[in-house]
Amino acid sequence: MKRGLIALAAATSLAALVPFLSPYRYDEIDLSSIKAPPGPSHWMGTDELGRDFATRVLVGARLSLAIGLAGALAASFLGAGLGSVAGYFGGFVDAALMRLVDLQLSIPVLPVLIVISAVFRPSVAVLVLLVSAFAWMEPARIARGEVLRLKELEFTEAAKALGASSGRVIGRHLLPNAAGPLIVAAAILVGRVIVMESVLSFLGLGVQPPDPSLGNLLYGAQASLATEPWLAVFPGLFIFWIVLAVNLVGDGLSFRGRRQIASA
Amino acid sequence: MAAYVAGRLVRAVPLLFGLSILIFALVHEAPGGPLTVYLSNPNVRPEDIARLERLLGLDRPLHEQYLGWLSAFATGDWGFSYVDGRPVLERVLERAGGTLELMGSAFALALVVALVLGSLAALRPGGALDSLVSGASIVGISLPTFWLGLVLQLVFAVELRLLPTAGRMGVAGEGRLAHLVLPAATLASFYAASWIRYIRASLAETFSRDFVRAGRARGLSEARLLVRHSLPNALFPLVTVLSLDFALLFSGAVVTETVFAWPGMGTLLVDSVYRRDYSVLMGILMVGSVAVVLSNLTADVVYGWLDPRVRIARKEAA
Repeated sequence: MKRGLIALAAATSLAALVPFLSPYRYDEIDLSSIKAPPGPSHWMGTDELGRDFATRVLVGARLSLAIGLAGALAASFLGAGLGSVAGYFGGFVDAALMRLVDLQLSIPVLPVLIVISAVFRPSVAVLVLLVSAFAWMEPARIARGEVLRLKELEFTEAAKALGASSGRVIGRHLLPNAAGPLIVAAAILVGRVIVMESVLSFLGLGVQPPDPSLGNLLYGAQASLATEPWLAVFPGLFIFWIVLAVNLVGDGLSFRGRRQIASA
Repeated sequence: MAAYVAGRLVRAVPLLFGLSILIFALVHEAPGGPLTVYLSNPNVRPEDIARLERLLGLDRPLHEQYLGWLSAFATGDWGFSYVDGRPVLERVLERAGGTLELMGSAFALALVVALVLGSLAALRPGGALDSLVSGASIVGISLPTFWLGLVLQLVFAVELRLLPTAGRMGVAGEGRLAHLVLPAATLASFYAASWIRYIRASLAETFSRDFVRAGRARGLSEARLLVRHSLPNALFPLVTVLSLDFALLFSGAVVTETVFAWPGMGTLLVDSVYRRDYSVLMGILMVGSVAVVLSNLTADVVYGWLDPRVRIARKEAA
């Protein structure tokens, strides 16, 4: 947990501070040092246009992190909203929602995302919404389960007796109490969204050049694997670093959650 | 049991209808429509496109098109590829073998690795081996599949020259196993790592149950306790996990095939996406969805077959 947070903080601050840390700009072409291997002046080498690869990786990491956070937040809000409404009202709403979850879980997500992003060529913002539209099921299940449990407790009854509307009961009383497990799920989702985006970009379908993202930096790297291996190694290493950090945090959070339940 | 399976199959039908409508609408509402591939071809005149649209029924309302497509699809007529004019069913089937080979071997590899390492870790919770396996598993679930594939290519094919970089077999069909090693290992890593966690948790919990302690008191060997008594009980929860992971495994296969230029449905999908071959895309997405629905159904059936309590409950309900 602590290691995960430190690793995540390190990656985030590196990515956020890149304009101050690097003497290069990410799109600065230097034709005198094309395809330079990693060395003292270019820590991760340069690409086929002589651009400093370390700067490009860090700028790409910034975009990937932003996409991961935004996608996980969007999916969590969507899932928490739908799941809590389903759990609270039960009956037809609940049955319809669970069918929808079943339907979405039966879709091979990546092939469908590949087709959608190839056909409609979405902007980055739309891409985030698309990915989250295929990732809201887990938060929805969690929110539904928690609401089913919490709505039988006294404080819910008290809120209702005081005349609170259904929306207020769900939004102000039930969901805040379900926040723990939802946050854990959201943490794991950050990693999943980052990987999803980088796969799409790796196939040339996500974030489009000249904007670097960790995925599209790998798009061209495969062809030059034998001659410029650093172009393939560093962006992936960064994805790995971020996802590992996020998973460590998620693991730590869920362990804490379990202990809290065990001690209660 | 037969009645139960039949019931589940009937329940899966609306699901598949829903999926097919979604996929059909997606492909046909795309900008440029299914004939995009011809729009940019200078040799195809606008009147040709109009004629093709009439011929393929693309000028009719969408719901009519869907019903026509559905009845043709059900009878095995999946239309023709816009790229090379061959039947879609033929093109998908000739690639299905490659994908099945890759997914099957990755699945088996992941399951064996997860069973062995998960059991070893559960034997002494908190021990050195347990920490090592837990560490390895969190690394495994964090490694992006496509990048792992690139790195394995770099190490084993480019640097060490031990294994081929890509493809499914040599020109004369030789070296199939050598070609399979890297893609299967790439695809298996994530699932092995995540199943280890389930097996370890589930086994550790089973070990503390009374029937295991009773067996130990009767003098049964640790090996017998593990294999005969604990594992079967610990594996129930895994069946559901495995079946839910099948949809993910298909997605993973698409990525792995692309990295290793493996001739399967994933590379066909990516090719068809780049070339806007909508009829082939429809076919692959449908095959993928049907496979996922069927695997979930299989898991339910296997679950009942493994656990007598579920079996009896179902009989009473039926």
